[in-house]
Amino acid sequence: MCLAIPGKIEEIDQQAIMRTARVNFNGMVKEVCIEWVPEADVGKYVIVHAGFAISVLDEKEALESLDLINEVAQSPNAYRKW
Amino acid sequence: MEISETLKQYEAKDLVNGLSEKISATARELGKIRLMHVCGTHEHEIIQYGLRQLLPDSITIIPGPGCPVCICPVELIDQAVTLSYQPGVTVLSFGDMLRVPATRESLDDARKNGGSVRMVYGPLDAIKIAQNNPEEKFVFFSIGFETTAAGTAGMIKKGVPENLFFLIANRYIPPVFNLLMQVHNRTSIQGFLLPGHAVAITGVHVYDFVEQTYDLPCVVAGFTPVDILSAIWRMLLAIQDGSSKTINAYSRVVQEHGNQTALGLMDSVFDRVPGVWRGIDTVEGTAYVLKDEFAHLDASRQFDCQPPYESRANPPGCQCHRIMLGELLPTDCKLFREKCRPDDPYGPCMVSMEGTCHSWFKGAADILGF
Repeated sequence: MCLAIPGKIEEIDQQAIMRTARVNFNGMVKEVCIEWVPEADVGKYVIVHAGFAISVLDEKEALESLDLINEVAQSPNAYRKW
Repeated sequence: MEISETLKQYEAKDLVNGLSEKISATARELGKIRLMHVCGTHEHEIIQYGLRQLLPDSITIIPGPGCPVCICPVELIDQAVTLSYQPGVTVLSFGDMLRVPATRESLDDARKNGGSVRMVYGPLDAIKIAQNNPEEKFVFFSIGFETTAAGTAGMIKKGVPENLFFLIANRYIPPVFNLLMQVHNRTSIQGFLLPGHAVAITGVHVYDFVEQTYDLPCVVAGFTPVDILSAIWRMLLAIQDGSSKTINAYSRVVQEHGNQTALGLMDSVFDRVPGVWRGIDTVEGTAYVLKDEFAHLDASRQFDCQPPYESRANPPGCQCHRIMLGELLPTDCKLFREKCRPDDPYGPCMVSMEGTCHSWFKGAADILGF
């Protein structure tokens, strides 16, 4: 399954053979390999698939996309913005 | 707003309802629209959140071949079963893979009948198990699309214990659109929703050929209700504009050029060759196979894993292959809910939470209470 929710990196284990991190998914903490997302850091959110982080959440994009959806979905006049 | 609050908003009811209204308003100007997704999680979420009920009747969302265990070639499951009976060899794979029916036995059946099979949550578990049991041999049955292929590739590149081997059944999604367009045309499908996490690996441009060859729009979709509905709405706007450009509606996760680190690893570990999609067809360039320099890790080259019988993809009457092509729906299959149920699956699409039949069974069970 593709997990819709990103997890927050709490701690990075630099000693492991592969770069791993403790990642918190709404309270559930999992050990995740972050070797393939070099930009990952403590406090950032990652999308994880089968134990591997595949992407770091772009928080600016998350906010901007949501603002746009809010605008078009809630305002009767904002018919299209895209 | 805290980022955690922002993320919660992607499931917000008022946004879902707002998007539903916008979709209905736009759809009124468009006539009948049929869109296909190729992601088992999309189907699961669409059913789970009742998103089809929020769409006007003129819009049909067709589930495509997006369930990794469903399209996994039966020949390879039969090989995994055969391997599990070899003395000193244990097959490791994901839980839903173990229950997928194959020609004679599923991996789970093999385990009950004396084969050695263990469930793992991912490739990292496989490494730990192999390290902890150096006197035994293990075969990780690697299935799934770009997302899981990336994990397996990375792990192999980094180095694995000598007693860990790989039976690779991973599939690359983009070329399957060529197969889908042999079955469909611009009348039966007006656009594709792309699987967000697979595209997070590959980037969006590997799908440009869908515009160039078939003049159909693609929209990269995330997995929350707001993500899926906003992707559908953006698709409708593209159709209204007569545009077939690939749109990224999941930009908080998917970068235009994908995950270059993962792609580099995959390129250095795998070649891509024609690959079987279970019961459907062989599709050019879709099967990941280990490069020759990793032949020593390749279970299909290191062990005799050919079963002493001929593989058969579809049990008699099973319609999974046609459901995965979007030709039929689960409710068109005579076996659905009768001979084929999640507790005793007859076809591959009834096993995993990502299987279309499984999602439909669970969804109907919630509504109808059977």
